[in-house]
Parts: sequence; C-alpha cells; structure tokens
Amino acid sequence: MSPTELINAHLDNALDDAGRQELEAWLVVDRSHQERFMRAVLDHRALLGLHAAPREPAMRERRPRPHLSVRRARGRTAPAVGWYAIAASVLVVLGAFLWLRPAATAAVAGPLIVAADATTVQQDGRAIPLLVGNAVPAGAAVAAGNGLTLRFADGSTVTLSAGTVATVDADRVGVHLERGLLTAEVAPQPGDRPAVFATPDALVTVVGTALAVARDDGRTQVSVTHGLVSVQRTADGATVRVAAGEQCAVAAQGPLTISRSGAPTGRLLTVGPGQAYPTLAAVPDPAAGDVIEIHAGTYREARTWPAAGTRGRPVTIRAAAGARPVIDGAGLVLTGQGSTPRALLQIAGGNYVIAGLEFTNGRNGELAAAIRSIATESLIVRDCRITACDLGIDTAADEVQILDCEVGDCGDSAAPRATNSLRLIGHEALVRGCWIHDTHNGASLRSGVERLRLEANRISGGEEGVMMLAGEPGSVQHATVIGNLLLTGTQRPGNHSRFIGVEQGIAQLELLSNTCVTADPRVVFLSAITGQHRVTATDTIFAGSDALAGPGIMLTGQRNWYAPTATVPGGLTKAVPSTGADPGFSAPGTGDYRLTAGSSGRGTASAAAPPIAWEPPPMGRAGAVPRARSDDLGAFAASPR
Amino acid sequence: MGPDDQERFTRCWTQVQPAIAGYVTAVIQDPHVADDVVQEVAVTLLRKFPDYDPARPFIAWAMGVAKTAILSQRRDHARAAVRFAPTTIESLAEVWQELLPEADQRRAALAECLRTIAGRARELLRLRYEEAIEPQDIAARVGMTPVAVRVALSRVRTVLQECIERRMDRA
Repeated sequence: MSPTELINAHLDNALDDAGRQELEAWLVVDRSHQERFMRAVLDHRALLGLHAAPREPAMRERRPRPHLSVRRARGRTAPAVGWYAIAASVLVVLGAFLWLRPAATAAVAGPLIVAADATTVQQDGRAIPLLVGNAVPAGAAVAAGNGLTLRFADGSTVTLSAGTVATVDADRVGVHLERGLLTAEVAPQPGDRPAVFATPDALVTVVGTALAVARDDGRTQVSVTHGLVSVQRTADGATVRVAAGEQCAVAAQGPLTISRSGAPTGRLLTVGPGQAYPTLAAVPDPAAGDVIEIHAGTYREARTWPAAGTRGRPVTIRAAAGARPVIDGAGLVLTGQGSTPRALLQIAGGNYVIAGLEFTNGRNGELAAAIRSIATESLIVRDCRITACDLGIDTAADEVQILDCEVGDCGDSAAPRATNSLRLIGHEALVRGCWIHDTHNGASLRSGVERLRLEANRISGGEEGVMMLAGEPGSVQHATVIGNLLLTGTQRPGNHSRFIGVEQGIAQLELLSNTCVTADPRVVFLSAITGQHRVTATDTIFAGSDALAGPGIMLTGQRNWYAPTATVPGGLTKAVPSTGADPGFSAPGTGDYRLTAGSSGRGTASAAAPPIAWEPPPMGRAGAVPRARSDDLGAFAASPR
Repeated sequence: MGPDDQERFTRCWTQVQPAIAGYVTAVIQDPHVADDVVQEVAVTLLRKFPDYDPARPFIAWAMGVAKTAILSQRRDHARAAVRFAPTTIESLAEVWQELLPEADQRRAALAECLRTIAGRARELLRLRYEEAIEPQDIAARVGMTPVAVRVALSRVRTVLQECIERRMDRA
C-alpha cells in the first residue's frame, strides 16, 4: 500500500498487522514521514471535533461521560477499591471540567431576546420560559410560542414566527431551524465566517443580506430580499446561489430550482496578452459555471485550481476559438510540496472541463503530471495534446472522460515506480478517441477505476504493455474495451510479455471488436499477476503472438481471429478458420490496420453484437472517426470494398 | 487534594486533553482502547498532581505520562493494540509536540476547506465523522463497497489536506 493508503487505513481502524508493520517501516525512514502522519492525525481529530460540534450542543456536552460503565461493559476485570476511589474523584473533576470546557462557549452570550411572547427553551427535559432581555442558551432548543425576535452581538436580527422550533448559535449568527419560519436581517459578516441558517434539508450561508427561511411539511424554502445567499441541499450537497428577489424551494431530489429566471451565469475570464488576465496565475479562483478562456501563446506556469464547479455548472478551462495555447512546464518546479502543484494543471475542486489545450514538459522526476485531479467529482478532458510529462493525466476524480486527446512521450524512464500516460482511479472513466503513444517505464494506461470504458482509441503500448488494471485489493473492476487498436512493439526494456495485465484486484474484462497486434511473439495478450479474472473476447483480432491468455485468466468468447498456431483456451472460438500470422492488414507499416479486401475477417463479425459507432483515429492524430459498418472483425471497418 | 488543586488540575487537564487524546489516537488504532488509555492518563495525572512542578509545562508532563501508559498497554496485553516499537512511540511524541502549535490554525483552515466539499464526499464525511460510523458500515448505508468508501474517504482527506496546506502557506 502507498503511504497515503496506510495512513488512511490506520485512521479508519482498518490496518492489519502487515499493514501496521509497513506503516512503521515507512515512519522510521524519515522524520518528515512522521510529520506527515501526525498532521493527518491532527486533521482527523479536527474533523471529529468540527463534525461533532453541531451534534453535541454545549449543554449536552456538559454531562460527564460514563467512563466507568464503558469499562465494565467491555468485560474488564473489576478494579480494586482504591481504583474506584481514584476514578470517583476523577469523575468529579472530569464532571467539573466538562462543565468548564464549554464555559468558554457558554460564556459567550447567546443572542438577546428583544421581543418574545410565550417563548420557552428546553433544558434537561423541561420547558423553561424565556423573557425579553434573556440571552438564549447556546445549543438549547427554543420554542417560539407566539413569536420571538433575537438580536445578535453584531446587530443582526432574526425573527422566529409563532410555532417555530429552532436551536440558536451563540458564537456566530446562526440558527438551526427544525420547523417554522425565520426571517433575518444579517449585518455584513466576515467572509470566512458567514451567518448560517440550517434546516434538516438545507444549509443557507449568508454574508450579509435579508432573507426568510421556512420549513414546513418536510420542505424548506428560502427567499432573499437583498444580498446573495448560498443554499445547499443537505441530502446530496447540491448548491445554488439565491439572489435578491429570488427564492428557492429545496425539493427532496432533482435539480434545485430558483423561482425567478436570471440566476447568475458563469463569468468569462479571458487569459493571454491583451486579455483581462495576462497569465493563468492572475486569474481569480473561479466559481461554478465560470469559463476560463486561454488565448494563443505559450504559458510557462503551473497552477492549482481549488474552486469547485457543480455537475450542472462545471468550471471550464479552454482554448479561445482558433487558438491552441501551450502550457509549458520547462524549468518549473512541480514538487507538490505545500502550495506548489505537482502538475501543470492541478485540479483540487470538483467538476472541471479542460478543452483544446496543449501541455508539455510537466516533469519533476517524481510523477509530475500535465493534468492531475485530486477532487472527488467529475473531470472532462477534451481535445488536448500532452507530451513529455512524467504522467499525462493522473486523476482520482469519481467520473472521468478523456476524449479525443493525444498523449505521447510521457513517462519517466528513470523513475523508481512505473509511469503511465494515463493513470486513473475513481468510480467511472471513459477514454475515447485518444492517441496514446510512446509511454516510458510503464503501461500506457494504469487503471484502478471501478468501471472503465475504452472506446475507439489508438494505443501504442508502453514499455510495460498497453493497459494495467490495478484496483484496490479485493475490489472488482469492470473494464469494457470496444473498438480499440492496441499495439506493442519489439524493443521494450520494461517487460517483453505484458500486453493487457491485471496487477491487483479482480478484473472482469470485456473485449469487443478490438485489433490487438504485437511485434513480439513473446507477448501474452492477457496476463495476471495474482488472482483469477474473467475475460470475454468477441470479434477481436489477436495477431503477432500465439499466447492469448496466461495463468489466472479465464478467457472465453466467440468469432475472434487468432493464428492457427495459437494456444487457445477451451471457451474461445474463431470467426472463421484462420491462416497466416494476421488476418490481412492494409498497411500496418504506416499504421493502417484496416482489413484488406481479401481478408477472411471481413463481414464475419457477430450479428448479435451492438453496432460499433466509432473507430480509432488514423495514425498521427487524435479523434475518434465514425465507423461506416461494424460487421468486420477488429477495430476498423475494412477498406472500401 | 483540596478543591483548589482540583480546580487547578481541571484547568490544566482541560487544556491538554485534546493533545493527549490526539497522540494516543495516533499510536493506538482501536478508538476504544485509545479512550481507555486517555482515561488512564487522566487518572494517573490526577493521582500524581500534588507532585507536579508548575514550573514545568503541563503538556510535557502529561505527554510523559501518556507515553508510559501506552508502553504499559503494549507490554501488559497479549494482543496489544499498541504495536509500534517504543522508539517509534517516543519519536512520534516529539513530532506531535512540535506540531501542536499549528493545530489551531490548521483547524481553522480545515473548517474553511470543508466548505468546498460537496455531494457524496460530504455525505461520507458526515457519516464518518458526525455519525462516527466505520467505513464498512457506511458502505452498507450508501450502497458502496467498503473498499470504495475507504478510497473515497482517502481522496477527500487528501483534498482537504492540500487545501489546508495552501491556506497555511498563504497565512
């Protein structure tokens, strides 16, 4: 496991003995490792604290924890009398400090009641009346009998209508609305500490505005009088901004809608000589829906993009019309330490689209990348060209699409670990129409994606083959490989036998209408380092080697092409009897792997197979090409007949 | 120990308890065992408080007691929850004390960084940290595999960590 995986497993109480030893071995190597580990612990503790706060209001926190009963419940030996005596005194003291600890919070006066009628607060199961001039206890549930107006220390006022039940924050302008209606006039708040109004359905953050929040029948509605607020649905995090004169009903599902048209659209931020921003570094952090348009030129800079788009309104970074800007990392430091990115474009926020750009020289000898996404949402990379980087695209985004891109001459021969043109981890990934070539020191594609789809790509395999599936141990990866031209050459210093491999996890691989060709007869087209994996191959050509599947691969399928001398698993069949070393390619020397007029593979593909819409790009460029017909074996429709 | 001492102890312990709990959590994976050890540290400190030299930082004294408690736990239990070597335990204690001064700033940065987390990642954080649910149980709730939950949590922690570092650098 990587250090990150080890640390996270430790934090999740999921590290076994072997893992613990691995973690400790890593820790003792360098003090910086220990610092990294302890910072992760620090953040983990802080996360616990930050999340616990709203669930454990101060008044409840004051109760001492039943330490002794916890011990007994876990079956410990009964302690000696002396132990009880000490523990009892600790309980007394702990009880005291648990009262003292929130005292800092409790001492912060809650908002004052400036108007109230029949208002009560629930305290220790009893309803205690609150009067004008009282401060509302932090964390207590307030029942606004006939209505209540509160004034916070900064002058912000909140009115709770009759019948409203809410909990009021003491140390900030904030109300948790259980049911009823609140209206608020919020004084300007510090940008880093906005007012917060929460319901079970939604989170409304306010920097300074007037608004109303209503919750009834399990539904929340937010209306804004002036200013701008952010409304986030609790269930799925969907977020919208609601401006003056607008209102948003937070439905249980579906898109959040604003009742008045004219919701703010994204900004267009132009970059380049003579544009609004001369460099990428000068561009402000974008908001959802923003478009960063880069004009022609070479930009010698790298940047992290922290802001997040949404699924409906991603952040777009694209070339201006007719331009092909180049982001060049030559001479740049890409350490990944502190705020320095480890990629030319490092995406830290979710939901980005990157289109029409060229990247080159993203190198640091330690897996720098052209594009690295460390966010958990979606990433689309379209029509980009990436050359001479340690890694081309390295993404951990949940949903990835890499479309019509060229990734060439990537990888680092001197790196201690394998390098790849594409390194994907996440839930779903689609790679289509790409030309991937000349990968050094690794497979062209390394994937830990749960659901991977490769479609109509031209991939000249790297030094360790075309593709390596490497999921989490025990996880199942589904890979669908349709209509690709997959090639490996002869002079591979890495591993001469690898083509498609499974390194880790359990793979279920479907090959449909691919052309797989190797120049090295020692290649095993499908191989596994560990485990048993299912592969089905249909309408696929395997040419250049007789070894179709290695140990651990259960290969089945029909209507394929392989040489008559091939070692064939029992569950695999041919389309037609084969002769020779290949089915007849038009001009393989120039990259043309269409079947010749006399090929036995023409017109013999499975009638039952779904039509193949695309074929790989021709030699020398990226971009999937519409496929004229799909009854020929392999990745291409045959030459004109 | 008189009421004044009790109050003094309470104040001292209240200040250092999060730091001690954090260190113990770092070394002991099982949160239940870690809780027990922290309680044991509190008991020991209370018992020995009359011997405490106020000229010495309380945190240093408390960390010393915590290390001893951890080593005792390691020595006395056949299936010890503490499986780091004593030198590692010692070394981590030093690193921990060096990092403590940045804890408040880091926590503030984290609070801001959390605002950028939305969707499924936010829900996973809520379940893991607000509901205190282990990843395998989260998996059952959200229809993911335990491995996928752990991977997703790992990713979001990485995102938060990088965000925190950026904010700390800017500050």
